[in-house]
Amino acid sequence: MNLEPSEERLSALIDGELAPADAEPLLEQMRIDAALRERVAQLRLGKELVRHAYAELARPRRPALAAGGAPRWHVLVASMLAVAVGALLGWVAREPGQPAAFTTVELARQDAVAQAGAAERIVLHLSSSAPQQALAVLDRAEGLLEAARAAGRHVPVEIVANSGGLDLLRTDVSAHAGRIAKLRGAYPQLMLVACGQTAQRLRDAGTAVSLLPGTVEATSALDEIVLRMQQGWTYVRI
Amino acid sequence: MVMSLRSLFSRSVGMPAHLAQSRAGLFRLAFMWCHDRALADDLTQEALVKALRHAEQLRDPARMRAWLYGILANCWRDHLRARRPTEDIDTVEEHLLASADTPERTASQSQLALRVQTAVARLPVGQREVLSLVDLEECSYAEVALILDIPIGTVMSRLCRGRAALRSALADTQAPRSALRSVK
Repeated sequence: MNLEPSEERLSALIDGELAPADAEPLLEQMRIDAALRERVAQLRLGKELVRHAYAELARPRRPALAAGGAPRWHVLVASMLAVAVGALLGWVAREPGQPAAFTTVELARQDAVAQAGAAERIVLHLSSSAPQQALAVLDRAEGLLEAARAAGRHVPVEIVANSGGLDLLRTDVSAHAGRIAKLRGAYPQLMLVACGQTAQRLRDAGTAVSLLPGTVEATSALDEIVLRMQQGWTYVRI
Repeated sequence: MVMSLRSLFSRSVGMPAHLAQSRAGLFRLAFMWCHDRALADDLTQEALVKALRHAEQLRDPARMRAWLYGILANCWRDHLRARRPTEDIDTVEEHLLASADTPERTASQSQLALRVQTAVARLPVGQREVLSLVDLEECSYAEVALILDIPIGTVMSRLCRGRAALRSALADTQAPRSALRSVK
């Protein structure tokens, strides 16, 4: 008999606070319970809305550490542009649907990783349906999560999938649904984000899009990546 | 304030860079608590100055984030004690509307952001604090309990109540899922 999970338990699930042994039964229940999936999706959506609402406030208006005189807005704007352009370059560097060169481009924000005491946060970007790319993103995520756990650190990892990469997160297409479910069970801090534009394109073409449990549909992968980089996440293109 | 902060930074070894990097997070948190840019800036400055003055209290550098956020929470509570009850929701909404006119906010997502911020501003302070630390700064529940000096059970209950209230507030205006899609 499955009791209705409490809001506190579901919140703990989306916040990565449940131990794997506690998360697994919930994830299992979510696979068969559409209403529960919806409750979890709504919770994650609320969390994302809050993040979006305050994302642009990462920069204080008054530059307290400036040497005086004019505010350093041009520096801030330039750095924001650099981050956005970096994401865009990674974005357009290859044709959609084509297997990418097997390279990983890491654009780490200078001030994020070195911050003492702050947990590192990593967004992994997958845009190819090539099998080796799908494997690579999962291997990378698992490696990062394992290493973080071994070091006693809480490191959120987010897989953002668009274009052909969305296949990895589609219930009826993914070749790795089982592995992803296990990974999410073992590491609740693993988050899955689908590109809303890619999903919409599929829907417009008459394809039903069903996403793996726990997957959040963002407006677009690019929005999500730029947002994460603004928040200081490390961007890794697979 | 700027001069004293600079001189403090130049005197300290090791801490300044880390503190400077924490500034954005402190400001974001403070803004989500008070929804007033100028006040958020003041609280951030105050917290940084206190952190520098009491750097020796941080025994474990791995806990710097929780330590800093705890200092900010104390500054915020001092402010609430001194000012209460002059702030009300109308004041907060005025601040929000005023800040919505700035170029960096009109550039994108201002409408949705404003609606969410207004809903957040209507939450009780305790729920707002917990929500900001968990959702914005991705603190663990244990960290939040440490920062706000409350039991973990209270962290969870405030979080759930806050999320439920937000969900209900946003459902009145637009379905959250379609609202999120409209973010550009």
